[in-house]
Amino acid sequence: MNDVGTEDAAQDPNQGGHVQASASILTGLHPVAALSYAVALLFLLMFIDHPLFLAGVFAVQAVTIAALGRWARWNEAMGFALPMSALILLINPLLVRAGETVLWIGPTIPLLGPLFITVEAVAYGAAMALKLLNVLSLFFIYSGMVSPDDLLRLFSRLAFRSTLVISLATRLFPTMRRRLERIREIQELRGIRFDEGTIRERVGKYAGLVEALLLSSLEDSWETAEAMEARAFGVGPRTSHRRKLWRRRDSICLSGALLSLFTAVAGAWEGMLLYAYYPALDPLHGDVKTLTALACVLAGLLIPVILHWGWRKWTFIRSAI
Amino acid sequence: MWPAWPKLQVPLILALAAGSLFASLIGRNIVGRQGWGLLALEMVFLALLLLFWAFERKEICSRELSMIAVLGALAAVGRVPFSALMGIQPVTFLTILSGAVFGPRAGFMVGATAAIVSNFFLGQGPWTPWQMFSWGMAGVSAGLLTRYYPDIGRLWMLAFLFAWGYLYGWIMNFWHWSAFVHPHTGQSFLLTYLASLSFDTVHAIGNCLFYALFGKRFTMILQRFRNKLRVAVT
Repeated sequence: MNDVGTEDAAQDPNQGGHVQASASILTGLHPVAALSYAVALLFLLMFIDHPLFLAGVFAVQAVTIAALGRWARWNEAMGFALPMSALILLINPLLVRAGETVLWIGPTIPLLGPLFITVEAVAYGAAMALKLLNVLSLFFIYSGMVSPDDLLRLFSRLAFRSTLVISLATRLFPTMRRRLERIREIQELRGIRFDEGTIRERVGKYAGLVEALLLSSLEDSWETAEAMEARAFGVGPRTSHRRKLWRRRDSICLSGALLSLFTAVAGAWEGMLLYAYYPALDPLHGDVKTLTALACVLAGLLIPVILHWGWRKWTFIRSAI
Repeated sequence: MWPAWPKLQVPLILALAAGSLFASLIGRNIVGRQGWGLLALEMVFLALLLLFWAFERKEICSRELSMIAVLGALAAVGRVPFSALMGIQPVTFLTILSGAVFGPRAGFMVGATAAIVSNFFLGQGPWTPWQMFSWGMAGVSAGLLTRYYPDIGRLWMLAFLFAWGYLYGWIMNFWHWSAFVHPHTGQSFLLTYLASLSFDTVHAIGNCLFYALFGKRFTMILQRFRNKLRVAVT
């Protein structure tokens, strides 16, 4: 349940499936702008259940992912995610007894009672399945737009101790994998066969391996600390400098995200954009106000892609942003 | 580094959390309308903020800092080969051990770091803050446990690890239930929790196995480093 979407694991650990250096607006945004776009999208996805919104956001995300140049890998990831969302689509109608329009009444099941499937529950299951795909795609976009290094650099100004721990650990991760391999090779050279013996013996061999890894890594952490002290860690207040420039494009993207957020919150305040699945489905097309609000929200989310497109096609826009 | 109102931070965040919970119970306002999925996520973010603040506020020497990073990275590395085997999680074991030896703050950082770093490589997702919270809390609780009961026996530690196998799953279930299951009734809650029972049991048994195999030696190694930390002249 918690390890879905692990398709990036197959990547080279040093690369981890993050941003490749490329000359594109979408990958070159200031981390604050990119992060606020992703956070706004996440908030909207958790906030609005309107089916038109879910479908529209899916389209927006697909276009953005294509512009990011990750179309093929996204397709692959969606292939993994489809069975999971299909499960939501199936389970929801079976378990939920709300809804007025009954489609089918089935036999009585001991623990659950009589089985009946309603149109509303099917629709809600479908919406939730789409929502899940949307959330997974969002993290695809996020990892394409924000590199972990930029993120850590951003937070190091706010919380330098925690950020330092996390960035140290991120650096150590590939090193530790290599070290584990090295210890294993050394043990094998010394005559330890990891794939022979009873389970008890094998566990003993692996225990030695893991213990050596723990001990040597902890010993090394002492040296890391000395290196940090040699570079004046903990001496006086920290200084910092900014590498990323805040450009006009960042302001435009940020205002797009803010526009979407503001429209959504104001719309919900006015009672629009809230779509009720139970007890009976609301009409899909809705009123003009809701449609306008939806269009505004989606337009705000489309702004980075539009900028990206304009940047590639028009020299004028390229020089202006 | 931090604003000049350090004493107000914790009460402010707690008041914010309590206020939004209360507002959501009343319903009929913007907080209530956003639904439980979003609200639960916001609560977890607030909790993480508080826990990171607790870590941030304390002066820490470079050795302890890099040791916490090493332990977090180790737990993250241990997670990868097991990620195919849903349930068995060396992270829980190592986090609890680190928390028990180095205290609640360090325990939290080891757990949260392991979650976020392993997800850099396994794939970030909406589950990341929840995993950071669950494993972080495992470390915090282990630290508090040994702070109040320093001479806790092996048997109680085993029981503690066994319990965290279930607790971790229950926190993650709460995310799943609040975000993807509707309506939020007692029945759907129970069904969600029943559905994960086998995973949680495997997790709990795995924790105990790790402890039975490595617990004694690992605790000794960690305690040795803690003692070195106390003696070292910084």
